[in-house]
Order: sequence, then C-alpha cells, then structure tokens
Amino acid sequence: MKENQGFSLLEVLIAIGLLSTIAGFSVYSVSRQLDDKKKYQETTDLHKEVHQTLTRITEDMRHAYLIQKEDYGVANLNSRIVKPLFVKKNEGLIFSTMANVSLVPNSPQSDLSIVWYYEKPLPPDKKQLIRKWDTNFKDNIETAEGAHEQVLIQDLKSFKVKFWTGTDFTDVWSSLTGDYANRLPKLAHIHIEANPASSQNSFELESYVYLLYSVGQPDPKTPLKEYPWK
Amino acid sequence: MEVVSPQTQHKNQKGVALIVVLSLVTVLVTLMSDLLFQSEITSRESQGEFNRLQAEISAVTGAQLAKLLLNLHMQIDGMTQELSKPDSATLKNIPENMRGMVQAQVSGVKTMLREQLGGKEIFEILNGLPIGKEGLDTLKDLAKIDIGAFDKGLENALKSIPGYFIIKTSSENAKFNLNSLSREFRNHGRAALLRILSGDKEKKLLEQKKLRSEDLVDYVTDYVSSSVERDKTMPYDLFKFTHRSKNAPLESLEELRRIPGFHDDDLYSVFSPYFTVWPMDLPKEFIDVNRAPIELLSAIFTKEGQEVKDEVWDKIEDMRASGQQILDIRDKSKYIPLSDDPAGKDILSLLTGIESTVFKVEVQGFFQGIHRTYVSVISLKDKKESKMRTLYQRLY
Repeated sequence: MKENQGFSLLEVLIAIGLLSTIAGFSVYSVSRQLDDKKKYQETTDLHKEVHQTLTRITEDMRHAYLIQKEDYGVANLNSRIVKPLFVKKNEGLIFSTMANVSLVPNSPQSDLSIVWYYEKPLPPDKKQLIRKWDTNFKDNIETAEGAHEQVLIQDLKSFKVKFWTGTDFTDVWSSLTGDYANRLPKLAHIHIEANPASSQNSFELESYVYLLYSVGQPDPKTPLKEYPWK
Repeated sequence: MEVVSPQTQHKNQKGVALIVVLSLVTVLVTLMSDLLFQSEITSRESQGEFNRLQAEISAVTGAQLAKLLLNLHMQIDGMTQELSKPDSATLKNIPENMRGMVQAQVSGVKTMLREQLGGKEIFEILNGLPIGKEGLDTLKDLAKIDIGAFDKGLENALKSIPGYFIIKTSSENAKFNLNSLSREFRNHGRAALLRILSGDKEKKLLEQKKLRSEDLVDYVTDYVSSSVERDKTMPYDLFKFTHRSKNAPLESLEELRRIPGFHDDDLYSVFSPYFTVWPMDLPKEFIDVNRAPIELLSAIFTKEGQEVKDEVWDKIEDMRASGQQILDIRDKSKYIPLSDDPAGKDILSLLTGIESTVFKVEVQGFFQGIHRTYVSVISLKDKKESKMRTLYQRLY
C-alpha cells in the first residue's frame, strides 16, 4: 500500500475522458448562453423600441383634437394657416394633438402640436417609422421648416392604423372633407411590425386607442350605425 | 497495515477537480443570474404597464364620480332658478296658494344644503379624499364618510375599482378668462388684466424680467383679438418668435406660453393659476364673485396706484368663511362698493356674476405606487336639460 501512490493508466484515462466531456459541454453551454444573451438583448431592444413607439402614438392620438362645433363661430378658422385636423392617407397619419410636452425651459412651445407619422424609405430595401412634429403652426407639417423629427423604428416592416366607423374599420380618414369631415374617430387600431438587427423573427404589437375628444363630435354626413358602446 | 489519518489523506490529494467544478458552477451561476435579471426587468416593465393602466382606470372612474356630483349640483341649481322665476312652468303645476311657500322653501335649499355640508358645495364634498377599493376604509376613518350608509350599490361599485383615486373639482369661473380679450368685452377684459398685472409685487416681478404690464396686456390682445387693431410686428419681432398672432381665442391654458412674456417659466407659473381659457365662446358675467379668490377680486377692483381696501375684502372673506354667498346678482355692488372707480364698476357689471358654469375636474388615480392624472374641464351648458360639455381633457 505504501508504494501505491499514483493513479493507474485506466484511472487517468477515465478522469481525462470525464473532464473533457464536462469541459466540452461547458464550453458549448457557455457559448450558447452567450449567443442567447445577445439574441435576447436584441429582442428586448426591439420590444422596447416597438413598445415605446406604440406608447408615443397612443399618447398623441388619445389627445387628438378638433375645434368643437359649438366653437366654430369664435375659432376664426378661415384666417389660420394650420387648422386642427385628423387625416390618414397613404403618406401617413397627420393630426393635431394636445399631448405635446416641451422639455426646453422658457420655451414658447405649448401643449398643442401637429404630428405626422410616416414611413421613410431607406435604400436599398429598408424603411423607418418617423414622427415629425411642429408647434409653430406656420406651415403645412409635410413641408414645415423648424419642425422636429424623430426616428421611432429603425427597421420597420409595417405600420397600419385603422379607424372604427361604427360598423367596421377603415384605412383612410379625413376631418377636412367627405363623410368624416369635422369629426374624429372614436377608436383607432394601431399595428406595428419591426425587424430586428440580425435574427429573422420580426416583432409585432397592436393596440386600440380610444380618442378622448371624439365625444360630442358632429356626426358624419352619411349616417353610420350606432356605436355598440353608446 | 499502516493507518492513514484523514489529515494525511487530504494533504496527499493534489487534484484540480474541485477548482474546475467550482469555476464552472461560478460561470454558470453568473450567466443564469444575468438571464434572470434580464427577465426580471421585462417582467417588472409589464407589471409597471399593468399598474399604469389600473391607475388610469381609477382616475377616469373618479372623473365620472365627479361628473355625477356636478350633475347633482347643476340640477339643484337649475331647479332653484326655475322655481324662482315668476313665469316658471313647474310653478304653474303647483296650486296658487302654495306657490309662495314652495318658492321660499326652494330658495333656502342651497343655503341649507351648504350648512349641512359644512360650508362646502355638493361638487366639492369629495375633494381631497381617497376613494376606491384601497381608499374606502381610510375615508371612513379619516373623514367619517361612510358611502355604504349612503348607497350600498355605489359602495360596491367603488370597491371594484382597483387602487384608489383623489378628486379635486374647482370652478373655472373663479379665474380670469383671457379669451375675454378676444371679442365683445375686449376693452373691459384689457382693463381687468392690466389691473391683475399691475400690483406692486407683480410689477417688481415684471421689472426683473424687463417687461411692463401694459406690454404683456398688448401681447395677449394681439394674439387673441379677432380683429387687427395695432401694429403686431413689434412684440413678435422683439422676441424672435416663429409664430404669428392667432386672432382667435386660446384653446388650452398652456397655449399662453406662445404669447411673448408668458413663455417665461416664472411668469407662467405665477400667473397661470389665476387664468383660464374656457369656454372659448365667452358669456358675460363669467367671473364668479362667490368663488374667485379674494386676491384676484381685490386686484381687478382696485385702481392702479391705489391701496387695496382691506375692509371690503375682509367682509367678503368672512362671508366665505361662514359659507354665505351673494344670491342676487343685483347685490354685487352692495358687497363690492366702487363709488370712485367707474372702470371698476363696468368690470363688475359686465365681467362678474354670482355663479359658476365651468368646472375643472382633476383626478389622480393610484395603484401599487403608480399614479396617473386625468384632467377635464366641463361646462354645465344647459342647466335646464342637464347638458354637460367637455371642453378640455388630458391624461398624463
């Protein structure tokens, strides 16, 4: 027993075999974990980007406003360059909102602003979701100088907004002419889908927004069915 | 056989297995905890979103309760007004010999009600009290208000509200309406605003900002006035603002910041609590002398450069403290004597009334430490038909 202090060849081989198996599994597991972490981080960032965008649109749209019928007489709309409006067309969604927050001290900005959500093509095959807002009411938002711009979604797959008409959802809305003249939708459905930086799976989020100022708005020219919650 | 003690056995073991295993465990634990931390953040974010939504529901529900009280206030007011008219349709249904008695009783209802409510009005009885699932017990303990004793159904409904809410309903007629400078009462509105901005303290503040009260009044008039009266290029060029005058009433109070001078944070925060912009289409007699703060009333009824008449305002303050109100519009000048101030007399007769028709309802909803605020301005448009109109809303 006294001389028997080392390991036999078999013991050493078994130990090396076991250790290399454990080490192999560990390296594989660690590298997979690191890979997962990167993907997870990417997904979290994407979720956050889409979520923040949805919150921003919800906040803006919830406070969308038009001049109320009772105030037409005093609002002097004819002399204004930019009138409160709510328009959704192919070029995007433009509306006046009372949810602007100015973070600049001693600023002449108020809570009123005109916002424009639109898709901006990014060659060769990408597009971004942009929010442009203007508090000066000096020019049309699409051409306004001095308006602020923010990229909400870096790699946008799709951005869809639909409005409840009383019977179904519609893709277009204009408070300026047609059936929905001088009228806000009561409910909007927003759907955003964005692509992540590297992985294949896109992320989509949807939400319904109830427009606070839609209460008491004039009826459209073509009567629609009663709202189910009325 | 040699017996090896456990100590010698430990000394002889030189393997690295333990170190390897411990290192691996450490690496795995670190990675796992990192993953757990990430998912914890996500779960907390969703929980926060849920709490935010619940707080919003509480706030909006509180606003509905506040509207209910305003409706009640409106109906009582409408009823007393209707019955006080000699040609009242309701009165005609009452036997002639009873009419006098009914009128006398009804005219005393408002005063009696206020006495019963400890000097408060119906729309403000729940102001500042926590109401909701988490607030009903506190309400019972602190304010001795048992909603269940009043209406079990209402208590059960309130119990289903997540968290709790706190209501603050106040009169917007207790403020000076800047849209009075827009049209009909422009000159009297200008005179009143100039008096508000011309107090000693106010002038000093404006001097610090290198402004004059007259200029500020001009800027507001330029912005809201429906007609072009004077050269508007000067003030706007001076401040290098990109926007031009609107020639229409202000649509939100914060829009005041677009007017040169009031864009200054200090001036806006000092003066805006005394101003309102609702309704845009202004009726006459919009300042409620029964509810406007004494400092505002004393400012608009004191000639520039004159001392404030303390004895008049002390009397009105005493009246307020005892829950009394001026009930007849003809009595305004009896309580506020302005014998040596013709401009003040005009302001009193044209701009001030004895009742409120526009109210601000501010409700804070609380849930699990998150709070959301819902502000709305409501006009009690037609008291007879109990019609309400929401003029402004903001959820933040």
